[in-house]
Amino acid sequence: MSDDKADAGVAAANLVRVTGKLDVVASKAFEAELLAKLDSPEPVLFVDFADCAYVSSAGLRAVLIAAKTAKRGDHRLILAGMNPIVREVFKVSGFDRMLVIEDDLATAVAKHG
Amino acid sequence: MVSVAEDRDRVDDVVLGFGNRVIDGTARLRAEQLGARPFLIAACDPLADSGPGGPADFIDHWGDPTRLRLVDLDELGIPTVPGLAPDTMVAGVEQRIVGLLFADIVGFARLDDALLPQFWRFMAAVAGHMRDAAGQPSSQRSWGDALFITAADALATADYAMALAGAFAAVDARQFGLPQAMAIRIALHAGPVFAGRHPMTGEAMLYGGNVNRAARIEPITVPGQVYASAQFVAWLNAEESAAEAETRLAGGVYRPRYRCTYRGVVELAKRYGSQAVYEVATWRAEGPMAEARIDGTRLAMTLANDPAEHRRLAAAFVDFLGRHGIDEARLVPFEIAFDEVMTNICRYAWQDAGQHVIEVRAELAGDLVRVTFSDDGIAFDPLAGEPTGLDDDIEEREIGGLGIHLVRELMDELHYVRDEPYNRLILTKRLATPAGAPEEEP
Repeated sequence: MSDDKADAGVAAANLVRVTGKLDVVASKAFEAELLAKLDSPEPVLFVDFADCAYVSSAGLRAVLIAAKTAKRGDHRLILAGMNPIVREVFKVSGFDRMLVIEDDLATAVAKHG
Repeated sequence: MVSVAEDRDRVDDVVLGFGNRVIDGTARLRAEQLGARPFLIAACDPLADSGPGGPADFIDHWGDPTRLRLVDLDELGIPTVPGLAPDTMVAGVEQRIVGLLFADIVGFARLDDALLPQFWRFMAAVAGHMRDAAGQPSSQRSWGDALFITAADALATADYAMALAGAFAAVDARQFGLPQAMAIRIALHAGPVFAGRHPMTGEAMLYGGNVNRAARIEPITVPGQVYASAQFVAWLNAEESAAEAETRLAGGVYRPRYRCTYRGVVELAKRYGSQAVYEVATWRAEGPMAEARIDGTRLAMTLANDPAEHRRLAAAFVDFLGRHGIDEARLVPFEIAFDEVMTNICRYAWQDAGQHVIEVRAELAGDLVRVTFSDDGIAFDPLAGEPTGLDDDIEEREIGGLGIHLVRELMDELHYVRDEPYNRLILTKRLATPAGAPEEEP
């Protein structure tokens, strides 16, 4: 399943997959991975939430820090594949208006890849 | 019913005063078990003399005037009971209230005489380990491996018991050449006892029904743990709440020293009837509860002040509501809220780096779930801050302040109260509200 998505034309270097619960504990590693991958020549970084159960504000902070870093470095951050509760968290926090969110990774790659 | 004195003909002011402490402590203990707050209703004649053991003494120790109702007996037309007859004690015998500790070493009787020198070297190491930590006992006696210790108050008795249990856990008997680790059974009780001298040996002695009662609790204690009678636990509770009231008056925050967990009712020998016993443990050393207590529609647990503890809470919560047929998927908003609340409490409640405990209670009523977080940190209302601006540009957007906003959105209601010395944050949500669906579109 995850291999199929990787075949959608996205290299590991510009893809971050979020798995499980992106809570206060998991967000530290998530933020480090985002920043490491933004420190590369790849112009677009895709973040796939398809296997993410939920996001707490710690996860949102990591996304916000990554979005700011991307903007300064002339990168684009594209989020995709959110389940309804994750989508809801991005919506009530107003993040959906600041960030590009696509329904799934394939759509994201087709539009922004 | 809790028996305080074994001899009703010897009830004096001192015993009545102790009885007051036991009633006070028992009320607080029951209230805590029920998640309620105790009120004192004192029916008394305000003009009557009131020495130790009287209503004024009770009211003084109660400490909280906001949870006190006075009923004037004079107005009710109930005649006041005359005072007690003067002391009918035998000369040279004195009645006093003491904390009683009986301890016995498991397996001592099975040790060969050849091993006794090793055993006493081990005991010397235990005594050395205790020297720094133990409370001040008033009397100590020993027969071989058995110990009988008394102290003037419940806290000193509990301190001694914890130092003894701690020393046994810390010192390994095998290092002294004994075949196995040694465990100790420690039992605590309290009440009036008689002090006198043995007519044959001239030795000081303590005796009476309460000494016997204490000795009978010891054999039913789990080795390595400290068990206490309901009387002792009530006395300890009353002492702790008096210390708390005093600390609060001085503007401080009292940290409870001991945690007492109900362990059941045991049958003592015929004359002593049944006895409720508790396990006594240190609040600090034990830290948070390893597991949640789930009782029908209620859940209670304590967490350490570490944001990662929200995972333990979430797991217990899913288990709790799973027993009521509620699917985990509907609980995701709670899981996110627990993460946010724990992160917030851990960040703001305490300024030291020490270990603290956060208490969580959850309740299910119909489809309504209420979760209360209590911490004894500095007063902090997380709801008082300005809501985060949501329409800012990425560059303008502040990092932080999001958590409580999310909790507001995910729950139906959110309340904060300062209930000295606790911060309480109460989350309420109806399960019928679909997960993640806002009540209104912006």
